[in-house]
Parts: sequence; structure tokens; C-alpha cells
Amino acid sequence: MTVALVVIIVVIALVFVVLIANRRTPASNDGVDDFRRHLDALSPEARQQVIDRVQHREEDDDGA
Amino acid sequence: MARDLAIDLGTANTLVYMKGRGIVLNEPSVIALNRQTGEVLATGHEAWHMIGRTPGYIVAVRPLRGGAITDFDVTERMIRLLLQRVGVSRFTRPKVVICVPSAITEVERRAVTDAARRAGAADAQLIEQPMAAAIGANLPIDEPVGNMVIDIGGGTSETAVISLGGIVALEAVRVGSFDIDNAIQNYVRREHGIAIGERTAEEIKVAIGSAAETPDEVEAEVSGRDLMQGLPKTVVLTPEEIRYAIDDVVTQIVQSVVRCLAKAPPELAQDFLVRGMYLVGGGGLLRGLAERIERETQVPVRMSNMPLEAVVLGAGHCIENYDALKRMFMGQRR
Repeated sequence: MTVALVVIIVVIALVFVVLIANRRTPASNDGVDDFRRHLDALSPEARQQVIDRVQHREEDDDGA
Repeated sequence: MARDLAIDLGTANTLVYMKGRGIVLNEPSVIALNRQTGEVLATGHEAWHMIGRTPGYIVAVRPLRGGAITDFDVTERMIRLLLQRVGVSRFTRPKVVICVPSAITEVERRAVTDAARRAGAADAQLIEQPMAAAIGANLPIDEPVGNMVIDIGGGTSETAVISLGGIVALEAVRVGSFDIDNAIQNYVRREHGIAIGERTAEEIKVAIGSAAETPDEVEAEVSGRDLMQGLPKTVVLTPEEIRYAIDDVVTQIVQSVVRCLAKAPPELAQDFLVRGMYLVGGGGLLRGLAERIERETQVPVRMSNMPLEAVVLGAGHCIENYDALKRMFMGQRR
């Protein structure tokens, strides 16, 4: 009976620790991920699509 | 479903970028109104052709001066017409990103967003012109290096140092290419005794205006109204005269670039020497300006590939990646 109670307490404690850890990890990574996404979106490769779109349109206009 | 829009609401020209499509509108920021009824008669190119040539009951105006709204109602109507022309209706309300001068006040900021929302935008966010210009000029602003961009518009000149996606140093003056036109108008009036219109002054600037001596310089004939006799009169202007006439304005622009360089952290100084500064905006097309800035700062100056479109392209990129680039918007930085 006592052993079962100890096991239950340990399991509950483990679940609690895992939950806390899961709650804290994303929060601490949020800023990093957000900043990385921000910089990725500003990379010349990401911007090329917009520039290509305008240049193609200008070429089409010149051709017309 | 409305496509989201990026708008470069410039003192001289307005450009609109539509998400997924590219630049769908590029025309002068001018609106012609009936003075008596307040009715809008024309906008854009059509209204620009009317400047200084209208009968008494029509007025053709630029509702923005120095990048700021001088007439809120007229600006709102101009934005509403712009949005209508690119397919926005009361049932299709897009998100809008608008480029504004970095030195804009809180009141002016509110005026622009209110005008856009009243004109039909579901949400209006603002982005500083030099930041948008750096994105549009495809500078490597995602890297930890100093990128310097000089944006010379119709009413403002802004210089910014950008690194890691944010502004490190900024210097803005409410002086731009319209001030150059005004300086030419005043010079011709003072020295030659004739009155010329703002469109003629702009034509002189484009034809023979320069900030530094350039090869193959030519003289230009200009016609206006003699101030003494009231009759049409033609005089010949030389490039030296025009350089002298606009020198005060050009000096103010160059000095603002120098001040921005002085504000930048020393670690970035080496980057400027290697990478140079990038010139964007219509005012940057003034002959000899890049050479003059280069001479006075000892830093190489390069012209952007698309100087007139760089700002709206940058804002367009923000509208294409709205969620990832939210922190670029004014008032959204954390």
C-alpha cells in the first residue's frame, strides 16, 4: 500500500515536472524562433520573389 | 476576398503593391478638386497635368508635404480613390502597410492610419521608408553588418544604418526634391526677374540640374512671365547657375548623411567603407549627387537597381510575409 502510494506520488511529481518543463521551454525559445523567422523572412533569397515579380511585370509591360 | 496592399504614400508619387501581383499603380500624388463643390475631378497623372494650368474653380494639390498629411480630408479621399482603383470595395477590406517618413509625429502617424481605415482598409500598419527601402533594395539586412541607405524623396531625405533587421542609426530632414524645385523657382525669380511654375522648375532640374560638376553639361532655355512687364520672356540658364541655386538644399541633404555616419557605432564603419551606401528615391537621381556625397563622406555611394520602386517593394515584401515581419511595423517592436 505504502509502495503504491510512493509510486503514485513519484509519477505525479514526474508528470508535474514534465508539464512545467514543457511550459517553460517553448516560452524561452519563443524569442529565438521569432527572431530567426524574422531574419529568414528578410534574407535576400526570401525577397527575390517580390523583386522577380516586379521585374517580370516590367518586362511584360515593355514587351506589350 | 481582397488582396492585401502595400502603399508608398510619397510626397511626389504614390505606388501600390498588391500581394501576389506586384506593383499595380504608380502615379503622382496629386488630386484635382472643384473648389466650389469639393468634388474630386482627377487624380494621379491627369491631375498632375493640371498643376498651374487650372481655371479659378479647379485646384490641383499635393495633399502631402514633407511626407506629412497637410490636408486630412483630401488625403483620405485620395487613398479611397486609390483603393477603389485597385479593386477594394466596402465588402473587400484588405490589410494595408503604408510607408511613412521615420520622423513622422504621433499625430501624423494617427492621421495616416485613420485615413487608410476610413478609406476601406481592414487594418493599417506603418513602416519607416528607409527600412522599406533597404528591404526593397535587397541589401543583406538580415546579417550582422552595417547597411546604409539614403532615401531622398520629394519632401524628406532619410539616412539609416540597418543591421540584423533593425535600424541602428537614423537621420531625417524634411528637405527633398521639391525643395530643390523651389530653390530653382526662387533663383530664376530673383536673378532673372521671371516667374516660373513648379513643373517648369522640375523640368529645369531634370534637364540641367546637378549637385556636382558633371561631363557634357549643356545650357537650357526657360520661359516664364516677366515680373516687371507681365509678358512672356525666355532666358538661358547654365548648369553652374542651377548648382549655385540648389546648393543650400543639397548641402542640407549631404550634412544629414554625415550626421547619420557619425551616429553609427564604430564597429560598422568598416562595413560602410567596404559595402558603400545605397541611394534610393527620386531625389537620388539628381546628377552628381552620389559623387558629391561620396566626396564629402569618403564612403562609396551606389545607386539602387530600382531607386523609384525600392520603398514600395520593401513594403510589398512585408505584406507578403506579414506575420513573420510584424515587428518591422511602427509601434509593434518588442
